[in-house]
Amino acid sequence: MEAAQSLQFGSYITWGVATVTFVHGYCTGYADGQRSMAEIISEESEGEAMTLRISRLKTKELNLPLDILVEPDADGFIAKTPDLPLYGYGDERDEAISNLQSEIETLYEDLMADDNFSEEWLQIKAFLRGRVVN
Amino acid sequence: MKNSQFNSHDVKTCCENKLDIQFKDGGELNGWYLLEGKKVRRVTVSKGRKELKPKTYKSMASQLGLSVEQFDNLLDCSLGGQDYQSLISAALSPGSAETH
Repeated sequence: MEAAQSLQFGSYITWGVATVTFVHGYCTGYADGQRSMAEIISEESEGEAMTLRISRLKTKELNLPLDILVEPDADGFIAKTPDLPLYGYGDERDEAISNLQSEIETLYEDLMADDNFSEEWLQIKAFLRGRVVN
Repeated sequence: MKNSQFNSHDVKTCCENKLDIQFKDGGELNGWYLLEGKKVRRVTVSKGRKELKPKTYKSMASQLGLSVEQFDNLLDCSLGGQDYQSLISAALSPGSAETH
């Protein structure tokens, strides 16, 4: 509950190298001068789980946002997206989100390297190709 | 769930030795499991010897296409590389409902 309360109007959360501001449920922060990264879709105070939407990865943009779920994992946090078999872990919520963003980007690079994948991964490749802007 | 018995280095070593997964060093360690020459499973492991938290442990199992119990068995040696190959082959065979 404490974490959820910390994301109210005008509050701040450190996000990797960026500090982002949550205003009326929207994240308007900037990373290295880039545009906003996420908005809060919903907050579940019980267990401090939170659903967010990211609009960019570490160095790449997304042309459509991805939903991510961040929830406590013992004394840390785990971030996942229902669209991809990936996770990001961090001692803090923002670190988990940042690590998931890195994971998505790394997966994208892996998938674009060749076509030597099972059918499921080729479908994921097509999905990411449609989402990630180079 | 035996997550408290293993750390991230144990998972990495087990994946390398039993499943012939080669990890690529990035922010985290990522590696692909190859079945009949094709990349069919991808697992992410933290660098170092980090404690494995329950949901992270479950996520690693899921990435490998295993239940938590099967993942426990993989790590504590009762599930071998050939057993794993059989499980994944069955999961990927036509008619199987399982996906990645």
